[in-house]
Amino acid sequence: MDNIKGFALRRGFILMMIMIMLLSVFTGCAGRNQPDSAAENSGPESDIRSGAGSEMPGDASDGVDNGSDTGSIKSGDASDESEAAFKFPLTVTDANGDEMTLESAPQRIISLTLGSDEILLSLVDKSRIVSMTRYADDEGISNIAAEAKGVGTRTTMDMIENIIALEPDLVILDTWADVNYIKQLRDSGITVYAFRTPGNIDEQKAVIAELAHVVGADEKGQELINWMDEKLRAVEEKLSALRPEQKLTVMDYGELGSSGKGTNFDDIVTRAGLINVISQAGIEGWPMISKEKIIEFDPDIIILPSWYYDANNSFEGMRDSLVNDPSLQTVSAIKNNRIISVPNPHISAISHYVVLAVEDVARAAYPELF
Amino acid sequence: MNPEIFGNGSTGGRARLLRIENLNYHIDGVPILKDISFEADKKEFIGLIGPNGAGKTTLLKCINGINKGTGCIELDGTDIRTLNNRQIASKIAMLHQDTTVTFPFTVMDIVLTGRYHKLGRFRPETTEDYAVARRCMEYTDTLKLENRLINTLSGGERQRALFARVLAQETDLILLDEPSASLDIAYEEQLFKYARELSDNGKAVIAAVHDLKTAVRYCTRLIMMKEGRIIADGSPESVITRENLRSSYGVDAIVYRNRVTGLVDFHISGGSRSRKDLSVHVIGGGGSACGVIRQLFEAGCRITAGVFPHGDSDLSCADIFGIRALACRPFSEIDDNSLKENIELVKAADMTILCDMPFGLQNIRNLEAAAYASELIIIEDTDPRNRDFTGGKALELYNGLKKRAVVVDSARLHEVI
Amino acid sequence: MNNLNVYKKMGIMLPAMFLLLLFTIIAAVALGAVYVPLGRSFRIILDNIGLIDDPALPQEQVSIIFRVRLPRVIVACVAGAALSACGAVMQGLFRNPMADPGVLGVSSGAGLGAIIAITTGFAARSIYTMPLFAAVGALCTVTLIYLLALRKGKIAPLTLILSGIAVSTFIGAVTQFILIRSNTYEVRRYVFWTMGGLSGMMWEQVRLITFPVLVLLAVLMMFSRELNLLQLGEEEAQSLGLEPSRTRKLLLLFTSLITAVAISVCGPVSFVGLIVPHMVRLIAGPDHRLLIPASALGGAIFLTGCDILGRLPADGEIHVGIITAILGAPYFLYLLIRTRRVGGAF
Repeated sequence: MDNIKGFALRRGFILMMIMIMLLSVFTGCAGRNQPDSAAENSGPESDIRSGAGSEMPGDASDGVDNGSDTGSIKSGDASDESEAAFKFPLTVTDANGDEMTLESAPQRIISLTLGSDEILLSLVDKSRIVSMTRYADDEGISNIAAEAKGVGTRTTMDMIENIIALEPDLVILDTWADVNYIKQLRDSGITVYAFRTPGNIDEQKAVIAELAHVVGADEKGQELINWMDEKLRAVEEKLSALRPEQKLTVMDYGELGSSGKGTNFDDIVTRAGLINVISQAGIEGWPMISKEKIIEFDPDIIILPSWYYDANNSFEGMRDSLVNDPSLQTVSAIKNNRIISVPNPHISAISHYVVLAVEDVARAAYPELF
Repeated sequence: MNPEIFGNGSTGGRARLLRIENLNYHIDGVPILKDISFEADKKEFIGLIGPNGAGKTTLLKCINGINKGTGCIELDGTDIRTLNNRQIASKIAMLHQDTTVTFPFTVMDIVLTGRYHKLGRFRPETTEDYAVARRCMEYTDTLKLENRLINTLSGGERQRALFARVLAQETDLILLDEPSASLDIAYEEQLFKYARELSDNGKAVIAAVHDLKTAVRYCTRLIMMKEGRIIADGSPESVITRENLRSSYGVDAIVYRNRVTGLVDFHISGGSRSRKDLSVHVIGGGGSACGVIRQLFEAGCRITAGVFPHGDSDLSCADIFGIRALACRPFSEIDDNSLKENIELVKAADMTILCDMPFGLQNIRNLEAAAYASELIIIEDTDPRNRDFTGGKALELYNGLKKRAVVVDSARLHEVI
Repeated sequence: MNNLNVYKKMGIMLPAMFLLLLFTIIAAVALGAVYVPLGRSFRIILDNIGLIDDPALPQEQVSIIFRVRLPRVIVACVAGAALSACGAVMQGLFRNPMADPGVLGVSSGAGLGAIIAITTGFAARSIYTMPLFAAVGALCTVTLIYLLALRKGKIAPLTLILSGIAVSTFIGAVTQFILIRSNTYEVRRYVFWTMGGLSGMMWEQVRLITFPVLVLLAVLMMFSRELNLLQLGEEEAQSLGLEPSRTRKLLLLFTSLITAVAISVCGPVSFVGLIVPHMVRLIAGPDHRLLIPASALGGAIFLTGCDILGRLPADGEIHVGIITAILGAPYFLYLLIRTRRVGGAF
């Protein structure tokens, strides 16, 4: 079993559950609920947001130290196409081990995961994307909510008929997709490429390179990876003054549990100069952490989500319930009032935007170094 | 079949139709049948008699292979344990005690199930099967009900239809388990007439009989049982004796030969040793009281009953058991006089039993009388709401009575008396 | 109607239901997320089975009709028929209108098989893995429940139901234990599976279930007479020559097999096996010679119809199990209330 998963997709699951519940009562109105819950939660996000929020490649103009980089990532151009032309037909093997041949650079691409939506939008021209996920439009989870407007249509995995009717030449999905859907699409003559959801930033880079190769935009992919490396190097430099004994401890505490070893979160906070108490304790995956364990772990910082599946939850509400919990008064994070939140689209990203979360976390943990 | 060979119970060196030897049957270690041995032949109509719980039904089920006892049951010289149910069904047919069918099958479909043992998985009913079914239905006067649904028939019609099914099995041996609380006395007579006719024509019939007078009238041989044992076996004259009646039923009876019918007859003179002090008044109607009266009678209670309209089967039942019953005009309300008499009987009795009866405007005053009981037992087998035809008036009275009564179902009546 | 001879009734009801089924199938092929004109849909089907040759048909529509919609409709028909006929048999077997194939723990066992297939990653290897694991899980569970209910070579219906509840609950707990250790994607796959769905059905699934279901349905129909006898009560049936406990065991075996095959492919679609035979019984009467084939046709109509409803919303379809539950649960409650009022079973 792959211990790979992303925060955004966990949210996706909950969203689905909500959808299903609503559907059982009132069919057909499911999609409309997403923006609502996202909007309600945009509040808490804004007041914890550090400078990092403005550095998304999408908002290239107001970036402080990477404006030029993001500019070059944003869209495909003619040189990209010509580069692609000479290496097709291209034979690749996807993460499920299935081999496929692309006769030419795909021009009608359907992306069925939010991660691939975000990556594709930075790799190829918008005109080559015929459909993305609905999550791409959700500000609470998407890094491309503004950019995605007007790009392609929106489909989900089970809308097989619609997908076929769009006549795509490439469908990108992840290895969690139902094998039946994959086979059905392939039987209809469509090339389907499954990538494996990355579990850390290095794997994320590999996935970007992989997808860039498949869509014939290797160069663009490399630029994207370079941009990520640069962002990471910048944070590393800021933290270079930090001595090992000065490193603070951290844990996250969300509706669906916390993050241990082998998770994206673990990689993000480690790169941000923090020590994840849960992975330090040798716990893998996404355990539910009891209050007793929080007291025992005694983290210096607790990270709460900035976005909640349940619209009744909010960062403030969660924070207050922890702060006011008499049993937790000995925990350093609570004593020192260091319960923080970072922008959810970054920390839950299954795309290059994940590096922005490293800066978000580092900036919030060591403000004196920035 | 040849009556010259099978007549008079002579074996002539051939195996008997049915031979039972040392049959014992236990349920969870409790012996129900003990050392049962007897033989039966064609042309015999054997009545199994004895009080409730003597083991009559259990014995019939053992013969039918439903209960598996120890000992030997041979059919035409073959141990029935070596036969499968299909083979048994081709030799023995049984009319079970509980004849209710809740599923709306047509009478024809039900009778045709008697042919099941002859059918194969790929062999549907032939015209011959239909012919046999029709013949049997004609015999029991149910052919006219052919297309009716079995669950819409009256008790008597249903039993006749099921008897036609028993006949459709075309077996040499027929087992009848007479219902202990039948709705229709007149029909029971008819059933025994059929059975006697069949045995006279060469079949063997073994019936569990509750009514001794009926048994004496129709059976060629009686087997009297008590607590799982056979205590007497032979002609009705030799079985119905003062001693046997006392030892099995616990009643004192005068046994004599009836000059009119020429049959042995008896008259119960006293109550039982255990229950003769108990006097019980039974309020019923529409056949609901018959089983109760029989049970009380067997327990040896002093019984009174009423008020029944003339023509009600409960009234004829009371007549059969020779108990005092109040009667009134049918289809009209109980008159003041009958009500007064009824109240007196209720007051005089140690215990009053209100049967599982329908309530109409004609008999609602029976409920008024019941209110005077010193000890009231209500038998409730079916929801009283479905038995109330007075638009709630009777139900109100009934629920009032229920507050101070012991409520049981008829199967548990013996526990409270 | 009820007083008619069963064969006459069959002659009226079965062709009528067959026509209704045909109509439903046509509607199911005609309606969907993507509009394809009905005439062209037929030309596509005829072209693909080799009756006509029309190279001018648009390829994406050929895919939609022949590779997506048609196999899905056929699976809906077969699975609906299987679940509903099994429900009719189970209700007859237990003489209880509330019995359905779920009583035997088939769904819980299949669920355990499904979650194991998902978490071990085998489900992603081949389209046959999930059905295989689900079927094995279902049959192992049924066997366990059956062995627990076996007393002196006989199956007591009440013991069977009780051990079914106990084992199902236990299996459910094991499933949940695995779920809590699983990641979001796995949980989601499992939850979607439990809703019962027909999307993603292909000719492979059609081949997988059609043959075993049709064969086993034919076998079930051969037991109609025995089921009728069981309605009369165990002892009466025995007096008439039936071997009640052997019949019961065989029927339990066949119904578990059919149910396992059906739900291994399309998940535990609820209520089909409960309400369809029940509604059919109101018209067909209690005779299983008619009840089983009529329930099979009714189940096919019902499930295909529910699938059409589930496919109507433009922004993504609703799992068919949700539709059957939305329609089935109120009917079930109505039954409960009516049973309490009337006090009768049927």
